[in-house]
Amino acid sequence: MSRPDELLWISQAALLGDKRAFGRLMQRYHHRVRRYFLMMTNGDRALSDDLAQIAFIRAWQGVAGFRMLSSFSTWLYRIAYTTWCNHVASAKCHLSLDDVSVSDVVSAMCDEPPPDDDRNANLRTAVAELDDAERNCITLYYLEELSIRDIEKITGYKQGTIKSHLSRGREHLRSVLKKYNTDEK
Amino acid sequence: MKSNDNELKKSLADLYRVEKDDAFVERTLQRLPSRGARRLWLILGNIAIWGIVLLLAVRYFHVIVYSLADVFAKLSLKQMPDCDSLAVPVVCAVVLFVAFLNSMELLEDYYRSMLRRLPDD
Repeated sequence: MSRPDELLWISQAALLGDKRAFGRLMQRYHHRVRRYFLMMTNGDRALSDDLAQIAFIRAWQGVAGFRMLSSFSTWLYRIAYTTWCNHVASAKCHLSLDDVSVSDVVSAMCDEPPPDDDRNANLRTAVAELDDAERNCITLYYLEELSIRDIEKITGYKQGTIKSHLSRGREHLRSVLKKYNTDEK
Repeated sequence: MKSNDNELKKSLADLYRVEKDDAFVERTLQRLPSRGARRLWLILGNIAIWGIVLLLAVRYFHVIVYSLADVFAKLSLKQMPDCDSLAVPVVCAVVLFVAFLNSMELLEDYYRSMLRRLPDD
């Protein structure tokens, strides 16, 4: 559940349109939302910051509708998730390809990330190879450390589906890490 | 298994590290549209204008009724109503039109905010 200070800021933002109160909420959560988008865009900082701004603007517009049935962070991640889905859908329309995969769309719309060492480069490539659902689940579970239940609320996937996405994504990423560790030895 | 999970978690956290950035917060706050002020002005404007309508209606009720009766009587006799008789209904129509426009603005604001309402928590 949301903390008491957050509830106060949410009330001020919702009832009085107080931007400073919303700013305090943003200061608490902006790095987490930006990190979510950073992984979803596979390291494109400019695009992830743009998407994070869009998500926070949507949160501001809808804060009066927050009914406190979940924590504020879960609600915010839900907005971030739908912002990402909308962005991928509009990018697919612009590319105008029928059978384009989400990883192709992400690669097409993201700028080249900064150069990495080999291990990070391999991991980044492996993340780019995950499909959208697996990448979302991996990001929310491992990077944002959310529970399966919270991921269910955010994405709408059933818990069994989330677990299978996590399992497949994890196997793929671990195989990359394991290969790198073996090569190093 | 758990150590593998921790290794994966750590690797992803290192790769996708984001620091807190006050400049990002400031930039986003500047982009936020104003929400509360517009609706407050619309509500106050509606209260004011409908209050004026009510006051005028109560104060000048008999004048309005006689003027309207005079205008309709002249029109039914296919005569042109005079300016004094026309003035009162015209003023009433303008005031009512402005009052309804203001109410429509407020209704539209509520309707838009309902459309923007996000999915359930």
